Amino acid sequence: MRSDGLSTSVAPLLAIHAVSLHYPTGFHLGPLTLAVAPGERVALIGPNGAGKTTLLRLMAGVVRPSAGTVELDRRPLSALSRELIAQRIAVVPQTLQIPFAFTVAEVVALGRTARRWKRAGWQWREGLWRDEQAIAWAMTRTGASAFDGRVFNELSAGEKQRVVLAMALAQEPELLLLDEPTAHLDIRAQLDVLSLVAELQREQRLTVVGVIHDLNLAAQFFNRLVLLSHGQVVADGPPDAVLRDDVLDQVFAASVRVVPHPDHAGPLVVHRRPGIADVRSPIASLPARLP
Amino acid sequence: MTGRRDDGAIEGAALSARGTIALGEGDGAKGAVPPRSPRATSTEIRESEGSSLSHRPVSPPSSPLSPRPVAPNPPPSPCRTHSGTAGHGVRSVAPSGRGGAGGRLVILATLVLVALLAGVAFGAVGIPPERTLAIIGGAVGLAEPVGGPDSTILLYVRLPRVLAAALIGAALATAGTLLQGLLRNPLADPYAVGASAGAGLGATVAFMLGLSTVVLGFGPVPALGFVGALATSALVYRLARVGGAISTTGLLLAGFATSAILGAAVSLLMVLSDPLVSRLRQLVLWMMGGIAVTGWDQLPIVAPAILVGIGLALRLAGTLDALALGEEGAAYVGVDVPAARRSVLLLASLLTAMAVSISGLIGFVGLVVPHALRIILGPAHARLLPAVALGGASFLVVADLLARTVIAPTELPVGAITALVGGPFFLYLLNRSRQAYAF
Repeated sequence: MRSDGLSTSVAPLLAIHAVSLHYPTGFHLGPLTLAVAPGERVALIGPNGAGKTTLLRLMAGVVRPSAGTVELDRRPLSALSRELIAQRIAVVPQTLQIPFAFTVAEVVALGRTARRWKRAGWQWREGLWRDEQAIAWAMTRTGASAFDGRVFNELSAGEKQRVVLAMALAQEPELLLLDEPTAHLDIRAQLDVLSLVAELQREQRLTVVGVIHDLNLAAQFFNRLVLLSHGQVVADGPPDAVLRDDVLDQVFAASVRVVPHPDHAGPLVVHRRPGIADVRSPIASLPARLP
Repeated sequence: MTGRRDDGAIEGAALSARGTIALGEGDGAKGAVPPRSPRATSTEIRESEGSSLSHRPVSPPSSPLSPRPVAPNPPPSPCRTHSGTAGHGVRSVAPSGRGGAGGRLVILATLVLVALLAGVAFGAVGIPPERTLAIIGGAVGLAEPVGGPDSTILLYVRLPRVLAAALIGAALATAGTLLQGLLRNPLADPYAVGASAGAGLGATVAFMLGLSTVVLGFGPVPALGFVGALATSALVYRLARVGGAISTTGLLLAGFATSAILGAAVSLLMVLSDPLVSRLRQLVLWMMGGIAVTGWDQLPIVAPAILVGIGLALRLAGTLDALALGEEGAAYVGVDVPAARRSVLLLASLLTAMAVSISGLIGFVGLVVPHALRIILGPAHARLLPAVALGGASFLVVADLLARTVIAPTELPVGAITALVGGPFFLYLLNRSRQAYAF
């Protein structure tokens, strides 16, 4: 597994070429170019409205760009059917509202939709068996099997998150896209979900792209950060390189400082208390402070 | 001109004696819906496959034939309460009629048969059971053919009517389920995208014109009712497209608005049109809903059409399940949402139009039956759709039976019976869920 997330020698799994998108509301994304190599764990970070979720939806193929192409293994997404895309790309959306009283198992089974169709007669039984294997594995692995039999709508946010993750895993994807997976979770659940995703990524050789608001979680669990601002890529690289005082101050218009993480090598982003005059250190990892 | 015939009057006129009122099995059949059991108990634990799961972690292969390398035993997630979960079977959404669900379908199928028998056996004119059997046996060829007025009533009035009721009930319930699944709205029924208003306008025009041509067994009223229903659904679909994309909210709103406009047109015609004055009562009776088949004329076309339609609906079960995730959620799991929307709408519109053409506007079947069965069987459409078809058939056969027999020989409009049952049931549904209403 790569340690720096940047690769020039392996063909990218997902390539975004000069993609731009214009919404009638005036929102403007791009033109941007990005490539995700197989096996990477990429976090999309940036302020609200920077286009992170839009970029994720472009990657999933549910939104078409106004210009440029998004390619999966050299094939443009627009040329692939939804079914084919869903067999390789799975999305864990931020919220899922289901108006029916589906049980957890039924919701996870929905992840098999793309693989369930057009089975020839003799493959039908084998297909059913494979469905059940995939569903059972996904539920066991994410811990959703603990609420097997319960109605999805009655679960807490963290529990629902697990079930939706299980549903995405049941698709047996190569690329997993996460839209703010930690948004509604408490700190324990946040750590659980992200460490589970990291484990799964290592085990199953998934490629993961996640939109993360929390910079520290992004730095800890992802090996490549893509910082977006106003629809453009401002920085792209390992956490150390991307999380710098000056860059973050400018992009987020907030007072933050990047210090070394006390537990492991890596950056930690902390808020600066208002009112303390600091001399900003040119070296991001060294704190500088006036008494 | 084919309007709704007062079958009770026909049956009463065939025999000079008054018919007897017998309710008997009718009520019992309607009430015999299996009680709801907690849904959690229907999750099965399958030991044979479970044991393999607990010892060997199965990692999903990358293609159907070539497995990915299996990782060593993954560490248990820190949050998981390990209760032998690896051994849990998972309830399949496939239509394999497992355990309780399969049993319930059998119960429903039996219910339909019982309802059909009751519908045939009872009516405004009392026909003793042994005579009923003799007549049917004669018709099928098991015994000598039997003649007489009650044979005519049974074979040419009652039997087609009861079969039509079953088909209409199944069609309306299926269409209602399709639309509820597509629009994700608890108030969606087969008429949500304008079919009822369109059929009403078509029937009004037919009555106005006063034609008497019959094409393929369909008079002007059923034919124009069918055309009106389909045309309005297409119109609503087209209207909802304004703005590039179609959303479910757009469909509902366009349906509502179109229904209002067409309903106003019907009212205006009723008041202003001279030819309608003499036929107003018939038009109103048609709109209140009632099984309006003339003998076996329409069934050869309607029956296969509805059965094929219901069969096609069963194939959409997986898509409907996925649509519950929302339009974007469904796209994420691989559903081509615009195509699915078109298919579901087309099928629902066809089923509704076929039903409406021979029954007028019978409400509540398409609304209440899906809800009730969803509570009993769960929302998975693979199980729900066949159940809904059977349940709708029974419901309408029994409602029609009541309509014919409660105040024989006068016939009550079936739509009133279904509303009298459906309305309180809906209030009951509202009452039972104090928390967030997930239907």
